[in-house]
Amino acid sequence: MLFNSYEFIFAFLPIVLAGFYALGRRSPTWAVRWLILASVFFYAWWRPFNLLILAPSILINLIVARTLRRLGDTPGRGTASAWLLAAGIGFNLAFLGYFKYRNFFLGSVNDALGTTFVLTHLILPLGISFVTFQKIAFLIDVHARRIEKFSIQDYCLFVLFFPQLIAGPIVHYRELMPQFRKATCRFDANDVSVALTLFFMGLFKKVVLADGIAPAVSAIYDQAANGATIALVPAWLAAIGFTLQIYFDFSGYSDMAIGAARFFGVRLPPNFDSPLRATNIIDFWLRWHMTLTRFLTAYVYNPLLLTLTRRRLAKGLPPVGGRRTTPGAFFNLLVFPTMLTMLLSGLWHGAGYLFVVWGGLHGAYLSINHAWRLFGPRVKPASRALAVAGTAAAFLLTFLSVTVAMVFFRSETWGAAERIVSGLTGAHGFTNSVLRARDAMVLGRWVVGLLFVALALPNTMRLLDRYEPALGIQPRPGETRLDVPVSWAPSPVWTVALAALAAVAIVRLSGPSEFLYWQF
Amino acid sequence: MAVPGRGMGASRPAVYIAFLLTTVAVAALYSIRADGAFACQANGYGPDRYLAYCNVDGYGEYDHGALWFDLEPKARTAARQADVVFLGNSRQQFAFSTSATADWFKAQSMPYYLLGFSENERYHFEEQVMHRIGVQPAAYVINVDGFFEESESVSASLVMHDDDARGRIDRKRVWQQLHQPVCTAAPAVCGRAYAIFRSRDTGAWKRAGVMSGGKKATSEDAAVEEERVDRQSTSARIMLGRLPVLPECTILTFVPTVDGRRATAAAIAEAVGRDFIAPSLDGLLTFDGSHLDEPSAERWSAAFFEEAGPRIAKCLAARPRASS
Repeated sequence: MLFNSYEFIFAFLPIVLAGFYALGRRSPTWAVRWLILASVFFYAWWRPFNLLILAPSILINLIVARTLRRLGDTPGRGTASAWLLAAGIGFNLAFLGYFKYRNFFLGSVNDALGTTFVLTHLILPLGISFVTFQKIAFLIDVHARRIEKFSIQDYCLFVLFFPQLIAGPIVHYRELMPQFRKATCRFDANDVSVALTLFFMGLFKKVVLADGIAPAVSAIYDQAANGATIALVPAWLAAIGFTLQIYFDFSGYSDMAIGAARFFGVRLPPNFDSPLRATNIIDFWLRWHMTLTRFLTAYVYNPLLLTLTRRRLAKGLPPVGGRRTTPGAFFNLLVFPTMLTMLLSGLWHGAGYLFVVWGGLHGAYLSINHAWRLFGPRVKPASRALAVAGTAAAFLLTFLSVTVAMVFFRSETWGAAERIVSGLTGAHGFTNSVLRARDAMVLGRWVVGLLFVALALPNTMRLLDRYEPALGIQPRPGETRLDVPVSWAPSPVWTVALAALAAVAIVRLSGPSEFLYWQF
Repeated sequence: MAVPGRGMGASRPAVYIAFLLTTVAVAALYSIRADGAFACQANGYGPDRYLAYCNVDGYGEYDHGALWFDLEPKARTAARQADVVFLGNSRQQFAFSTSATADWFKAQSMPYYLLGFSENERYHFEEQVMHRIGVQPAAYVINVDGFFEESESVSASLVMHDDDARGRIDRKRVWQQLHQPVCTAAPAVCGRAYAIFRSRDTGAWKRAGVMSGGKKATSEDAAVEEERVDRQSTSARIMLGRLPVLPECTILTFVPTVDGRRATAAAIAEAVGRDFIAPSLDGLLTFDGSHLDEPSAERWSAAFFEEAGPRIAKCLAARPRASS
């Protein structure tokens, strides 16, 4: 079930909330059980067979986690615990690998070795990548004794809690469960008003903004996939258009998830923080799909960096040390872990070479950004105007780099990506028949409008920061001129404004929609 | 947690929630009426008919998925038991959805099924639908009107390749269960958008409302387009070769339309060595510049059965009957 569907908004959510609040008045335990049951129903709605796939995986993870906890309590069983953790992670990766990467792997083997392995169409269980990452993080946290106590009910709620089940934000057990332990499970007008605001702002971003620009963007990408050459203007409109589409699509869905959780009095971590305003690529990744960045940093990048640093130090080689960093240290301790992490990030997003290229490009961008920080000139701008110009140039370079990489993320084939990228360079003229003048105007207006919203207006977290809309969000100074005076409150002005946004979003619900992240 | 304020800035969460939810409910009702199944009238439903198409973005096409995903078991059973199956596009569907067709088959005591689809559907989808349903007719009637082109419609592509399509199509089935009683009991509540209903028993279509385009007389393009003939006859040979009936029991036809490529269709039939039966009648009209209107469809289909009827009856007689 998708958040942007009639059945979720008008049937599932009201029934679940009514049951949760009613049971919460009698017993929070029953309210939580009701929530688990509802989450199972939510997951099974799309394809009940998915439950048969997910249930054994949950059970095995639970057994591994409980054994890890017991081993953790027994002195001298560290090695056994480490092996069990490795087996648990291996199981989860194999689970993900079978459903998501089997055909990609066999196809690659067929391509490389001329073999004829049969590729069978496997339907990806809903949200498998998100669920798998959460289960892995849970096992690591239990092994590291960051989680001391948990019951079957706790674990099921953590894995299945429907607001974050299919597309994140990727949550840690220690973020989610303490909130449930403190939750009253009763109707709270403040929480519900914040929840409704987040949900409908997210819905608006998804079905009005992202789905609004999607057909015009897809038309150009489809033509590129069909072999058409793409000129400069359509190539840039398609590339920037898709960057905006995916931003509003996924950040809108994250807002809806955060809003849906808030109905239950739970705050999820933030997932987006106006990433397109970033002035360098490191900053971009601290603002884009923040919970994935956090996961990859904590569970892939940092352990790898730590291991490599220890090895270098054991060999008597220098670590990364500011401007005195040696090329060897830079490549071994920064470029290698960064590239590996981002290539994995690419593969996580999809089983295809183009996703790997997307990840590789970001790995390269990040490495260059690290190199600039370490070795670049450190000149203070002579005037404020020069500082502004420098920031503008940095923003532009970051935005264009992200946009070019997104071409590989969106393109269906390598040929299509090549045609769009060569269009971006102007190799096929200024404009051509791929995009008629009228359509170019329509898409151009969309791009300008969405750029304004993404770059100048306050984002949802900023608008609601007085109400801690997501974990750790606190009031802060605005980034843009329009950021500063605007702040949400359940006041008459905002009531009318939100009602208008919600009405438009509901009317647009029946239109065609593609959710880009829901099978990741 | 609430932040106090004054006047238009005062925080009133309960009022905020109530107003927002009311607006959402009103917007939803408006949306369903303007852009969902309720934009279409219900006067095409019958004991055996479902809403195959409603010309609004929020509903659109149900027909392709209904048969592909077996959401209409009665239709599947009827198609499977049909002695004669008609394949083709929407022009074929309207042309044979007539009393003349029903009467002719009734007189022969033969079940038939019109298995054509909208969006100029081609053989690739319809052949797979036949396979999924398990049709076993004694004869096929195929409207050679772009039917053997190597492509599929958008709706066909979605139901065949989109993993999420089944859920979306099934929701349209659920909406019908609400649309039929409400719009039958209170037609004024519902809109008048163009709709098509399909009979589960015979596959015949019934339209409600009108499409833009206006009445136009049928006409023919006398030129034979060799490129089309070459391209389509290649796929036609392959597809027709797979049909488990005698060659003379596959009748190719061409339903008249505006600027119809009848000569090209006849050339394709000749190239693949199949009979081409397509009566040429004067004074035929389309109701929208493409599909025969009801009087014209009656005349044309009656003429078709006059010519093709004996051949179809012979095919049925020649087929070995399973002993009961």
